[in-house]
Order: sequence, then C-alpha cells, then structure tokens
Amino acid sequence: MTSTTDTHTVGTRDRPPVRTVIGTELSRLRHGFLAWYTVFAPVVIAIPLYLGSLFSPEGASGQTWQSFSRVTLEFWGVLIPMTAGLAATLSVRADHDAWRMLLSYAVPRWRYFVGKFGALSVLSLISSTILAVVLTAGAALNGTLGSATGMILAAAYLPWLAGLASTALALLVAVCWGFGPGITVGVAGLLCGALTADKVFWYVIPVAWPMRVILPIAGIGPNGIVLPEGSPLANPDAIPVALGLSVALAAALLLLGGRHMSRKEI
Amino acid sequence: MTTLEVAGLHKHYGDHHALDGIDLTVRPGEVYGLLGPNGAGKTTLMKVVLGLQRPTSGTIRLFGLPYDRSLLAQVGALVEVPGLWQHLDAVAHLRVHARLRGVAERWIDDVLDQVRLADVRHRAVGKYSLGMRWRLGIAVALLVRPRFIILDEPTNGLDPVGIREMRELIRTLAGAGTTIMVSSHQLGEIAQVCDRVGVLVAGKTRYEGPVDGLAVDGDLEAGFFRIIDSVGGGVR
Repeated sequence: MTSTTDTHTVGTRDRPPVRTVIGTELSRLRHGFLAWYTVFAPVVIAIPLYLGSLFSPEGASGQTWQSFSRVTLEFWGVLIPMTAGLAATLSVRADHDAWRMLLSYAVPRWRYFVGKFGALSVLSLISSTILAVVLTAGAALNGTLGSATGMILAAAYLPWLAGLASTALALLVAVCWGFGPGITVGVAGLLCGALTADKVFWYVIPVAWPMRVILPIAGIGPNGIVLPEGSPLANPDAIPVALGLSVALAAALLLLGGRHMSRKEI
Repeated sequence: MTTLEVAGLHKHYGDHHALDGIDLTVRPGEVYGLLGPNGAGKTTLMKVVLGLQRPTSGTIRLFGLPYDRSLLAQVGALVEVPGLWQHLDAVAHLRVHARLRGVAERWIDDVLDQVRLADVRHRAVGKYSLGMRWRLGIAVALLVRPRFIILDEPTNGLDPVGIREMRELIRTLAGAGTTIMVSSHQLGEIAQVCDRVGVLVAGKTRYEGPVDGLAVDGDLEAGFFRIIDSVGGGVR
C-alpha cells in the first residue's frame, strides 16, 4: 500500500455533488431488472395494443391510430404509479446490505435519497421517451404523424412530471417501511389511476395524477373510452394543477426523505 | 492525540443496554482487538462509532476531536457483512464508492491488488465465494486510504489461507501507519495481529491493555474466560 500520510486530506472527500450520486445510482441500476423494464415496458405494452387496434373494428374503419393511442395511454396512466412503486422498492431493496457501508461515510445522507429519486426519475424519463418513440411509430404507420406530434409529446412527458410525486412517495415508503408497503404504493397507484382519476377529489390522490393528466390529453376516460362532447374531464385546466401539485409534493417528500435518511439507524 | 476515545458510552434499546458504559482508547498506528462473546456489544460499538447508531449517552472523540460525522471521511469500515450488489463486478463496486467518496479511480487497481482480487475484477460478485466477497468489502474500506479502519469479524468465512492473508494485510496496513480496530471471536488471531485489546462483556469494558496482560500463566483463553466468568458468563 502506498503511504497513507499524503492522502488524509478531507477536502472534497465524502462530498459528492448530487449529480454524482445520481450517476452512481444509475450505474448500479443499469445492470439489473429495472434497466430492462425501463426499455421494454413501453414496447411490450404498445406492440400488442397496436396489433389489437389494427385488427379491431376501429382499425377496420381506419381508426387504428385513435384506438391504439387511447388504449396505450390508458395503460400508461396506471403503469406510471405502478412502475414508481416497483422501481423504488427494488432499488431500495438492492441497497439493503450496502447501507451499512454507505451510511458510514461522511456523505450527507440526504443526498442518497435525492440521488435515488433522481436516478429513478431519469429511468422513468427514458421510459417515457421510448413511449413517445413507439407512439410516433404508430402515428407514422397510420399517416397521422403531423397532427399527432403535439399530443404524443404531451402524453409522454406531462404524465412523467405528474408521476414524480408517486416516485418520491414510493421511495419514502420503501425506505421507511420496506418492500411490501413500497409495492403497495404501486398497486394503489394502479387502482387509483383507474378508479379515481375521473372523480372530483382526484387532486388529493397523488398516484392518480398521471392518469388525470392523460385524460384531457388523450380525450379518454380512465376506462379508455372516448370522452363525450363537453365532458369536464376534457378540460386541460387540470393539467397545470396536477403538475404543480406533483412537483410541490415531490419536493416536500424529498425533504422528508432526506431528513429520514439523516436520522436512520441500522 | 488518540485515534479513538470512547468514554461512558451507552446505547439502550428500551430496557436492553447494548452498551452500558464503554470506555476505551485506540492509539494511532496500533492494531486494537475488540474481544467479547456474542451480544457483548462489539458490533453495536462499531456502529455507534461509524454513525450507524446514535448513542444514548457518552462521548466519542475521533482523531482527537469531538465526534463529528465529517471525520468519517478518514475512516474505512466493514461491519457485519460486505454490502455488495450481486450483479456488479469488483471494479464497478469500487468505482461507485470511489465516486461517492471523492477518491481517484486509479486507486482501484491498488486495492484490488492488495486484497488479491485483481484477476477476478470483472467477474460479477454473485459468482464470488464468501471469502472473495469479504475481501472485496475490505477493498471498499481501504479505497479511501483511511487513517482508521474498523473491521468487524474480518476473518468470517475465510479459509486458513484467507485468514493468513487477512492477518498479513492487517499487519501491512498497520506498518504503513494506519490505525486498525478489529473484532474477532478467534483469540489466536487477535493475539497474532493486535497490539492491545479491549474485552467487552455485557456492554461494559472489562479489560483494556496489551494482549499479554490478558493471559493467565501465558494462556490467553484462560484469561479471556476468567473475565467472562467473573460476570456470570456475560449472558444478559
């Protein structure tokens, strides 16, 4: 071993910037199940749904794109919180033994929580981008790319923003209470997205916010059926409300999570 | 200046006093052995020093300074189990820790050589033997070239060759000026590598001093059991 005396300066030791912590999280996650899930979930959902739409009565009447986009986004709206729960829980579980090492460093502990949230958000952003690509391909195949581009981008990225609170919530629950409760957040999100996104009290259910954002964008109800003319669910005013709530709640949960990590005993 | 100074340290979990007034001093450059039966408080003490547990009361000084988590930047540790990610290889592990701790990635090769894992650096940890996992855990602890290393049962799961290598590694590190605290159940190992020992029984320090001072008529084991028996076997 080289002499230790020249390397004892503290300096920037154990003071990684948050982007570095996010990078280390991503470097761990990119080898596991979540990486595959991130890439293939949108594809695995969209391809069968496209084929189903192609051979559906709507497809036969030249409405393949409309049918495909509606049913894909309906699935996506409930998948976002489900994925948040699954990803947060698996990510926390993978670190179970490593916490002893990581938390014994002088690294400010809140950065681990924020870093994990950041990495999971990056993964879901990648997934959303792949969804956008798949939807774009579907639109192109049906010659509607020009008119659908705006909707595709909105449908891919605005629900991602609305899902940040779900990610932070699932992460906090997984860090505090472990695997079962973390997964429960995801399952609750799946159910709430389908059952409560169209209710007047949607704004008090964070895991329903991604679906609530999708409804006016895709012009569908949570069951995937086209909204009737004049439906209040088609009003886009709900979108900025959902996004604002999501960002605010995510920020608050990050504060709570960082504080929990700082006090965590193992 | 001392490397570690613990005084009147308590850690209570409800009615259970895992640490019940620990006092000990680790001096710079020495290898300090922490002995005691299961449940004596060895791992809890290490966790408290590393900030993984909060003490109920008592004081800790690290490197002569009042305890502060920022001082842990100069500490390397392996407590209970090496916290490894099964699908990563050794280099990826060390790269994660190097980036978090702000040390040069070129040091990775040094520590892999030190723990004799250089040949399997790109093999997933899931395919490592238990001994190899421990060595990687120690490599992570060594990565920052720490002033003070805390090792909890570092010979657990190692075969005789691995135990000898661990002993040599500890001695090499100590020779380079690193202070080491090591816990073990194996009295013989402690006797071979440690300068001084602390014996914990039922959360209290029952002996602290040179290894030889623990022995009764040259018999280390007899001295150890005499201490344990004097407090009812240390069972709480």
